[in-house]
Amino acid sequence: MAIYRKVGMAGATFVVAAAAGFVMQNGGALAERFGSGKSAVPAEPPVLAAAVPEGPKFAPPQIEEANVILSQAKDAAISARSTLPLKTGKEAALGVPQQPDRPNSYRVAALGDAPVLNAPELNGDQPTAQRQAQTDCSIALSVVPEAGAMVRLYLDAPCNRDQRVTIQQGALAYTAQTDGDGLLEQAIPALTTEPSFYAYFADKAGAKATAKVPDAADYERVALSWQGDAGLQLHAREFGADYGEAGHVWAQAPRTPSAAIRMQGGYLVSLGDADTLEPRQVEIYTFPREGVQKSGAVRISVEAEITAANCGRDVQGMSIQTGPNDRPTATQLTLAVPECDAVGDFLVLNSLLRDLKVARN
Amino acid sequence: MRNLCAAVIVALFHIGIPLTAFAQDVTLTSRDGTVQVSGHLLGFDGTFYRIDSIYGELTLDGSGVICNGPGCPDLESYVAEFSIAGSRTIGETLMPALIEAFAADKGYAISRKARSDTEFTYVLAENGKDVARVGFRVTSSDEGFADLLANEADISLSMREIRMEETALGKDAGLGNLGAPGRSRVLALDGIVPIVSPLNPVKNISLENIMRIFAGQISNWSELGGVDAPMVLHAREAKSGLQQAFEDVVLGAEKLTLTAGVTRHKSNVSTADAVSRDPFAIGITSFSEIGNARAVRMPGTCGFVVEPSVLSLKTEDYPLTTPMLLYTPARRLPQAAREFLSYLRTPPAQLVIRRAGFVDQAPALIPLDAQGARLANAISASGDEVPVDELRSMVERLRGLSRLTSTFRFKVGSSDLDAQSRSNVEQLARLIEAGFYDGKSIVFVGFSDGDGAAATNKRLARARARVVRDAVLLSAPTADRDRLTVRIEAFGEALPMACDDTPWGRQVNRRVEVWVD
Repeated sequence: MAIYRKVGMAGATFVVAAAAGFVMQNGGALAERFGSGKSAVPAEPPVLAAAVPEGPKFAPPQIEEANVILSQAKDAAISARSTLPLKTGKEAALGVPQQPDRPNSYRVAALGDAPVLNAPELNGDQPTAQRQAQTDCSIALSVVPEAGAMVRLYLDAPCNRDQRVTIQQGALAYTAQTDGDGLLEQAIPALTTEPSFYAYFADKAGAKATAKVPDAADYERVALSWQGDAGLQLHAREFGADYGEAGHVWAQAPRTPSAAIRMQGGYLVSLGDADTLEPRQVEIYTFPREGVQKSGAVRISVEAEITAANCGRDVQGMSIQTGPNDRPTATQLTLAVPECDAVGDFLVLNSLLRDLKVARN
Repeated sequence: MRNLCAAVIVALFHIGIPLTAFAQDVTLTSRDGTVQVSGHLLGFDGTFYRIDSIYGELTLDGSGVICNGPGCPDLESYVAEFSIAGSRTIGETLMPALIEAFAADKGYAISRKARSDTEFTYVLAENGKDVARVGFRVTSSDEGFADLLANEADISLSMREIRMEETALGKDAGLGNLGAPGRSRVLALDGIVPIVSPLNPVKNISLENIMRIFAGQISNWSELGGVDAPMVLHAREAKSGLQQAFEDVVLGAEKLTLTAGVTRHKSNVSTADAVSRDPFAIGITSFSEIGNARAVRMPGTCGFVVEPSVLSLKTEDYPLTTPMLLYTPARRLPQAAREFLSYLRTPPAQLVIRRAGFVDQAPALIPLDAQGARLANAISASGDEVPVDELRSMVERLRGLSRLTSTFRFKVGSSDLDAQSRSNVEQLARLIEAGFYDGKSIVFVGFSDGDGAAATNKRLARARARVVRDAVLLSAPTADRDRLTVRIEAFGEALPMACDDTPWGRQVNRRVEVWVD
């Protein structure tokens, strides 16, 4: 524990950078945009589903259906992917096997009900005003299944360059930033076999996409999200591993999806950009349900360094764990961070999330 | 009674339960103005006021009185509040999982406000409006009872049955007879499990030796065929119900006491983690929290192995089975609390219990074919006392039937059923009333230990079977007896489940099984 504390404190400032760097992939090749229909901007601000009991009941914010030609969108998703510069470097680093070229695995069913923003309704202070006048400001979102029940999310919002965007999957939301071309690409663990994703900007313009990820049923997922700069950390200690040992999986030792694909153990994905305004961040731990040749417990804890910024305050967040009937169940959280005389200590909550009990099969 | 009150109030304040409704002066006046009662408001469930008056604790229907004073609740924005306190084994994981599932089942949004692992509040909301706040204070079975007695909790969680002193205090505090059947229920089943590290080469330790180890009579692994290294003992703190049950059942069998120098833990997780890392450690934990340690295999001298499993806990054939108990006082709880309590008995709640890694009470069937080892043991134990003819006749009479996991055992030296068995009486009675066994036979089969003459044992076994049959049928008054065949059989010591040379083995063998077709 003493060693871990030193590591934890020395590395604390890098957590955010590591988290953001893990999945941000600001490729500039996603020039193709898809979806050309028009729709109104949703009248109501998107309401984050507060505490949504289970998968199908997840209530993504209501947005009006747009005229999207599905086949076109699907083709675009595939061609968009195929025209991307090969991610061999990145994916090799991640250890993700290249997807074999199986069109079926790209079934982006019911892809992108992509509402399109009416350009004049954009705020005048956007730096891309000139481009807005010339281009179609439609926002396109597609999600493509990948190995290990991950999905790759592609967002193309030509009129929303360098902007804060909220990505929502079910009850889980985090904030990210588009690049200078209004593009965003991220790899996200799917929480259900038919996850639906919603990306929206501060002005409520957004797009929706769903995917079919049947192998999501093969993985146990535990997710934690939080608002602000609370600096929460999700820790998994597999089969008796102590802090800092090989079986301790967290943001600074996240492993890659290949660990789970090869049934060796779990991995952690951090999502969300702490530098955005009112940031929301997410950490998702994934463990394969079958095939790990060990039995015992994976201890799941939520921890935070008590800092001058979070001491004595309540942190708002959300947890998602598999509930009865194998569905992800969301619980809203309010964590009371200890008073400021405890700055430098760690808040450790061992029972907030249930440990995983693994039986060898 | 105890000086916990202030600490609890501070804790509740921190986790956000407003205390305005508690311990405040109110005056309740009847609508015609003729009757007036003043006192401290103890609770308001949306309909009834509960006040501590000079006449003692009174419950008054809110529709008949007008409330005046600083303690009066705001009737418009009433939110049901109740609190749950006690056993960490039950309160840490299982109870939160059940509250969350209950909320999902009722369509409530749920949020958890956590101050720490042991102090938290669940808020259940509907359409953006809070409907219930459930406070948790997860400590130990001892402290749960203390909170219940001090009116600081509405539901207490315990890994042991209530003690006579606590029952007496409960009567004094106006909580009714907490020892009465209606005041407690079995939530789920667990067991006391001795564990060692997976790195420890010693795999088998008899229950007798477990007793000697924790009594300090065996202290080096070499005494059990291991390396020459002192044993490092781990156990729960003294307030733990699991720990007390271990000391009562295992050490108490020979009136021994726990040795000094045992590392004490606040939770089973902590015990299991410490033991799993140390090859020289041995600890006591629960079946639900073996974690990364290994359960000790406990062979008996006669060939039976004592092993915890879902089935051996359900049948209580594992001698260290401990029911997870929930106690409620004899007062009206808010409707949300009552709904939650009835939810706990439903099949969806049993599923939640299983999924959370605990053992539920849903009865399961064990066919005769799956009991080969038991029959083989019976045959090798046969002889003068139980001739093989006797075994043959037993097998004939049970052929075509299956054993139900619901098994009935009596408290040591008593004709009272133990807590798990009382719960089994209710479960079986409900199934019978629901017509689940219509057109079928239910056979209550009495067994005994092997102490004394076989003929006497058979008579004892028959008497026990009769007691259980009567208890079940008495609890099922609406059952249609014409659609049901009920029989009694008694086989005495013929089919032992455990070795008769230890008190635990004899306790396991004195039982009434239920067989159905």
